[in-house]
Amino acid sequence: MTTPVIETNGLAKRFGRTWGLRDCTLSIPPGKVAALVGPNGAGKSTLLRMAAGLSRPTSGQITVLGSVPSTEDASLLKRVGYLDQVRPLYRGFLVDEMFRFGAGTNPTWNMATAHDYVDQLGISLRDRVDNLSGGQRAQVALTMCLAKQLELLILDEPAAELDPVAREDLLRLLMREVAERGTNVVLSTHALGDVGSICDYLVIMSHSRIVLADDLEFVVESHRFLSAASSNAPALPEGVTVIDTRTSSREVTHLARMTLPLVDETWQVTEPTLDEIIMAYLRLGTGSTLSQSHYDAPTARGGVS
Amino acid sequence: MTWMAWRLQRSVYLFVVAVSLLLIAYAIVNGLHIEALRHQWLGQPCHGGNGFAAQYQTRCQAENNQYLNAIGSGVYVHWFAALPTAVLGLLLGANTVAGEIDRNTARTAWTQSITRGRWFTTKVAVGLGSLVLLAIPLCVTVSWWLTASRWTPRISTNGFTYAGWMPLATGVFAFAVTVIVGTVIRRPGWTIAVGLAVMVVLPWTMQTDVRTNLVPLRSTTLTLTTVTKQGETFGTTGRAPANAWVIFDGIVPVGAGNTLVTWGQETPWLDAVNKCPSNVTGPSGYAACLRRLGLHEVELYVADSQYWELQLREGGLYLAGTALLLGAGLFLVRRVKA
Repeated sequence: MTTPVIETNGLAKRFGRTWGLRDCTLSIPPGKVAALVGPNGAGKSTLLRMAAGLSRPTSGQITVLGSVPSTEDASLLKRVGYLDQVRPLYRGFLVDEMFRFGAGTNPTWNMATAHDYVDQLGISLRDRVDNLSGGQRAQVALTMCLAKQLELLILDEPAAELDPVAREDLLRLLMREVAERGTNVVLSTHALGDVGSICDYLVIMSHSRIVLADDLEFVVESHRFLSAASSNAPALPEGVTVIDTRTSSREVTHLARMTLPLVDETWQVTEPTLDEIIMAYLRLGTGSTLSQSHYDAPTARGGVS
Repeated sequence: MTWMAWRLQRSVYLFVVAVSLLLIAYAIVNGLHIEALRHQWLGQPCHGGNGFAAQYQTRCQAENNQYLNAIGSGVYVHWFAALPTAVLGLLLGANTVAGEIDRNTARTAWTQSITRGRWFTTKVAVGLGSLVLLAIPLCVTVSWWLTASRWTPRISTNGFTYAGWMPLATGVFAFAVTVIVGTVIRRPGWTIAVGLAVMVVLPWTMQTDVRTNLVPLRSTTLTLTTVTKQGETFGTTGRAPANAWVIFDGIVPVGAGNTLVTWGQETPWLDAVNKCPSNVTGPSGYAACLRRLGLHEVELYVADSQYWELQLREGGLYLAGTALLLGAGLFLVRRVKA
């Protein structure tokens, strides 16, 4: 299967006078756990809601598993699960009733899977949704998605506001699903630690735009810290795009994306951590250290505008 | 999905059903009580006040008071069908879309494997179905109570609006109003407030401006007769039949037909009548003056026999409005963002 799980072309969404998302061109390949990372208001939720068919683009196109999300396309709805960041379950319902709702609205619903998951998490079917903790509610909401037996799982900050144990349980449940069923996952997160541990594709968003989208492995491989004495730092060669620069009285350090190994030995080359790369891009989005030309620089792969 | 739609409205619905059962019980007891007191008042020895022996003066006075007090105690019963169905309609309608958007549960519902169209039609069908199930016994009860209590003729404004199948029709219309308003403004509280305003203004307009145009009016020409006891006041014959809804009583040109006249139209005719000689002392002189002016006094009315025809037409208007609003709701809900 080579159809991208989510593909966008010039996608934009405007809320009144404000752009929630703009100029978004992206192609997330299948078989990935993709992370959308960015500050609040970067457009992550807007993108995910359009992918889930909950809102429509102002301009541009989006396809999910090869189809345009539609409120009337049951065949696509059947293949996609969506977990909203507020985990909206019906207050006053029992867990069992939530599952009954899932079974009644999803022809591929697997009740045994749903029971199995909540059983492992120590949640009773007779528990009332109102009485569940935030973590348990997230687990039930995720179970609602997983029991659909879907192909693509869209998760909007699934682990937000969860305590470490609940977070660990949720991610374990998620990874089990990916390992057993090969489900595609696209999730948004503020937790950079989760990105390295569970994701293999990275999308960084800032100021309603995408600033990087690529395989996580390639992202790590293609970025380096380049350091040189401030007094004699040479010009950077072609093929090197500076993402972030830190200067001190004695030294200048660039975080740079490189397409080829650097041969100029004046530069001291070290490998950044994933967190450092992501933080550099997030700073780039705020315009705190870099010029606009960097902001628009294309990535090496991944078809990002 | 049907179960889900029912589950979401269950608590509100059962609460209104419980209240309605109490209202039905009260209406039945009250209706039977009034009926018994009326039979007692009309029977021996009081004969409904039409001649009873002097020795029964106190007893008949008491029976009459009891009867009138019982009617007074039931004056609110005519609301017992229209009010619960309209309130339930407003609540269920506001909950159908606005409630789900407000609580964010629409994001869960709209990402399951059913289309929004099916989600909407199922919720609407369950809401309407349960509303009709509640409305039928309430409508039957209030219609029976009106007959039993003889509080007001069924074709009169109060009788007509609150009995027959009008409460059902206005209830489902209230439901449709809050469904469509809720889809647009997305907040259940505001939706109910707007729905309430609509359900006050619209039925009032229907009652005052529309209803009289829904069935052909009938007319009767009044004839003046001398009231023999006083000798100097007038009485009339030829009035509309008992239990008719009299809409107009006034002076119109002969041959004007059965259409309602406005106050502006009637003014010159009344001015002309006022020019009749002031020394007209009897019905024949007054009638002769009217004849000379080409005028006569008529009553325009809707007869009791037109009751169900009017019910069908006015109720039909509400149902057509309901269908239109729900169709618009289906169109909008497919496009609204969650």
